[in-house]
Amino acid sequence: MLITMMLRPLRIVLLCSVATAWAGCSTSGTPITSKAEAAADTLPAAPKAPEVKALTFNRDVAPIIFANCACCHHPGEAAPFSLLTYSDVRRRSSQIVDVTTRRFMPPWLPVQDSHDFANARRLTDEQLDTIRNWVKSGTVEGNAADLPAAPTFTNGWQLGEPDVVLQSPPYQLAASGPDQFRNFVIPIDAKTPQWVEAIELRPTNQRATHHARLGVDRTMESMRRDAADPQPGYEGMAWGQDPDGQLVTWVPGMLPHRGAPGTAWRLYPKTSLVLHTHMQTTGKPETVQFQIGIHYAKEAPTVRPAILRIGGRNIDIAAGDAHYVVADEYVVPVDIEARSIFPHAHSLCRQMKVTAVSPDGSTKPLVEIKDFDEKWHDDYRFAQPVRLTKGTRLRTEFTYDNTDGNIRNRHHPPERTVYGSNITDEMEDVYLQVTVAHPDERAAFMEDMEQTDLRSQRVGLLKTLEMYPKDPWSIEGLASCSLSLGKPKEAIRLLEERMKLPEDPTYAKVSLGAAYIADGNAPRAEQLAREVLAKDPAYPLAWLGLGKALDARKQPADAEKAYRKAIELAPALIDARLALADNLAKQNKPEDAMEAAAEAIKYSPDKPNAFLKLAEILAHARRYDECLKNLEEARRLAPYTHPPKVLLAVYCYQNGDADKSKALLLEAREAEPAHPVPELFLGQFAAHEQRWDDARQFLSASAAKAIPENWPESHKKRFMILLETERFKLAQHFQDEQLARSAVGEWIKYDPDNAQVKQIYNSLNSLTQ
Amino acid sequence: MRRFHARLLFGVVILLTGSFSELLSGGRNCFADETHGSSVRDMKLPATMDLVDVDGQPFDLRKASNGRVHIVVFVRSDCPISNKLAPEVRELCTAFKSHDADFYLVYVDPRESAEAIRTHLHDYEYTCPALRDMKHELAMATGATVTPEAVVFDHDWKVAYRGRINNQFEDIGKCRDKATTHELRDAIEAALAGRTIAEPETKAIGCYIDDLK
Repeated sequence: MLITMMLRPLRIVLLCSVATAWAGCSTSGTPITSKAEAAADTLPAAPKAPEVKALTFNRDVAPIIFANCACCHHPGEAAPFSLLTYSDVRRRSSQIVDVTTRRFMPPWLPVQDSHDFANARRLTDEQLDTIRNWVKSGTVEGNAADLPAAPTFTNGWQLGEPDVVLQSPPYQLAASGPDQFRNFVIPIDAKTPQWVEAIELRPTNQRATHHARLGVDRTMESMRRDAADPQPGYEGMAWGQDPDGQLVTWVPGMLPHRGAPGTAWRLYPKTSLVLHTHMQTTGKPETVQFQIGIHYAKEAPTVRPAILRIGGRNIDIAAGDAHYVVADEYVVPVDIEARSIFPHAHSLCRQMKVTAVSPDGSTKPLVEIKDFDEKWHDDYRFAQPVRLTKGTRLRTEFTYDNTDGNIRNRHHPPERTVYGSNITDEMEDVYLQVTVAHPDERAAFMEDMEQTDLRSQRVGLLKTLEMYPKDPWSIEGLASCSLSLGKPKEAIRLLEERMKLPEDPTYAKVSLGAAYIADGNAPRAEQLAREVLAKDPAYPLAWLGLGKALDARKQPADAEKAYRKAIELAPALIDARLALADNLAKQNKPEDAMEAAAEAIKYSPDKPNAFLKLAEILAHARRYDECLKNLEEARRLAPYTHPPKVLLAVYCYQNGDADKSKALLLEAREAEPAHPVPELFLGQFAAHEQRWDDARQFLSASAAKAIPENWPESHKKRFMILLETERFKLAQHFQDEQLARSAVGEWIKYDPDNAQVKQIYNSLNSLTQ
Repeated sequence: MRRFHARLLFGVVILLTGSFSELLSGGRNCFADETHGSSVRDMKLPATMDLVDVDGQPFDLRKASNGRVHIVVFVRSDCPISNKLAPEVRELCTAFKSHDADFYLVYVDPRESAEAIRTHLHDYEYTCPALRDMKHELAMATGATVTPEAVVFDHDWKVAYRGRINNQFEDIGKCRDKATTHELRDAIEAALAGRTIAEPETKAIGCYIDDLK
């Protein structure tokens, strides 16, 4: 479980750049290139009608400027000057023609036909002509009666007065130097969990800020990193998760928006918000600070979006390569709808293209950018949700220029650049906010997404380490991938190497402890946790690790104390709460265990785990009715879980009540005749009782049923292994070689690394030869 | 030679795109401008120049400066590019102070209040004297078209260099993390050493001075 916690932050990490303000304009007047030439180069062919309409500011130009420019170009906003009056505009007129003709302003990167976006801010060719011709004909002010009312802006909160306003610590940014990337930590002081409808981010110094992204940290790890860094905030990995499928970002000119109806997310006490911030120097020292306005929702969410990340991580761009392509493909496992798309890369990236290829072969562009500028990217919201049916191939193709000709290249002269989350590395990230079309397929989708991402991270981190073999954070990331992929020994090897590096090993020690527990070496895990706690007794992850080590060492009373300490320090640390419930049940303290599980539910009401844990404890206390209620709730949240009566049957069997167990399985079969699990367990029962004919009948019936569509891959794998093991036992009893071949043939598909099944498979094959 | 052709082409473009009325109106527009951007060769600071200091008092550049080289940098307080390059201007100003080089900032926005300029000087920690070119006479005379743009005069007030401070800005919206060439510094060094400047004109990127008329 620690593993998933370790992995997530990698995903949101350093969605760094977007940035240096406007700052960029013009053509100068050397004879070498004149304004006239520049304009002539970029202008469409000379207008057919030579006569220039007598355009006026008040009638023709003001409406365009007010609607498209003034949102940022007004006092208090990110833009360096206002465009609210005739004088404001006239005093910039040729500059405006220049920047709009080049489509540098308004900033909008997607090409016109890449998709319809709700937040598009692109001027039409007609609008550009109007501005240009107005300037050409002498910037006439016109009739005062024609002037539309200048737009008014709420200088202050755009979404209205927030329920709570928090602030990031003020940070002093130097006058010059490269852009800065820092994470600021804002502790949440709320007394009870709250549903959040929207968060409005407001930098107090907009010109020095170019991008920010907000995550939530339930582990308190970000607080520890903040404390270890002498300045406000800390550098490097952001260590937060996107709050429940929402991207909370700030980019210049972006108007905050409330989430789609019914998509509230939960904010828990004693967690922290982590604000990943990209700051730019402006020429004078600046203070950068954010105000964070939180709007609570009255109701629990009805829709649960997810952030789907796609894009390749096998990136290795040679110095001097002018056209390096990274392509990736993700096959959508269930029907989904995409609501927004946020492509991200760093300074070498020149072009981006994301397309969806439907199973019928038709292709639609999702977004295309031909002149990427990391300083201006955005979360592009589709005007209409985009349906992506199961089997759709999402293809990404980004091109990179690692020559000196790419002036944004941060390396001079160019250097080999590989995948990584630092701004001097490269990325090919695309974040889509999606919802699943059929809610009961959500779990299958989430698992597919996570597994795909895990494999991709592994590839990327191996690439990073090729280039920076001593990068401690990449080694830690790779180790957590190894642990998630069930390779604790590899994780141990990596982390033991990591410990030799000079950087703060605190987190690595906690991870190493988790790896040792997975590898069965609890004493070493305990030692590591104690080492960390000796230095930092307020570190919740270390207390959790200590608890698990002590549990594994059969010292449940001490483990309980450790879990309680972890929970005291980080109440939203759900893994500690679940571990405590488990620990108390094992200590034969059912009432305390139930209370702990009920608390866990409060902190994780949208996931099945805590309900399942509570159900298990209730069952063992023989409170079957209440148990069933919690199982039903778990299944509502995760429809792929076994039918409630099947799980209850398992608990009854564990309680020694075989008859009740059998009766429940029969009831479950009655209630869900298409479900393959009740008959699998009935078959197991029959085999156990040596009723071989019954067993054969049940197992054949189970095998004949289709696997439910909403099962995640791991769930399917566990089921198939169990079913085929039973069928193989049956084949042994009946000496049925054909059945044996069929069972082992399936079994090995789902359990290819199992030595035992390999051996059986090989001996069956040698039998034939 | 290439430069010469470019100038010819420039003339043709004016004829093709400029309308008769524009030519008659004296052309305050961004497409054609005959004075700005002319070559610095043989260009000299005119004997009289209508410049004022921040308090509005007439300022005689020739009289006030007796160094071996004189540098002016055109700026505008609300131009993000000239602000972004302020640290380099500041550094050069300090670095060459003891080398007999006179450094001036020239504010080109006639509407700005003296107070706003003082605040700007304070915020960006400029230490060199500031002047105002209310009628853009100095800009016209030296062919400077944007802020920030620098002009280096030799002791005889002949223009030795005109153009960008450095190459941080390559074009509109195209900005390096940090500059890799420092043309103004090179030009001052060459002028002080009496060397010819290899590239006496470079293209400056910034906010158009002409818009402020």
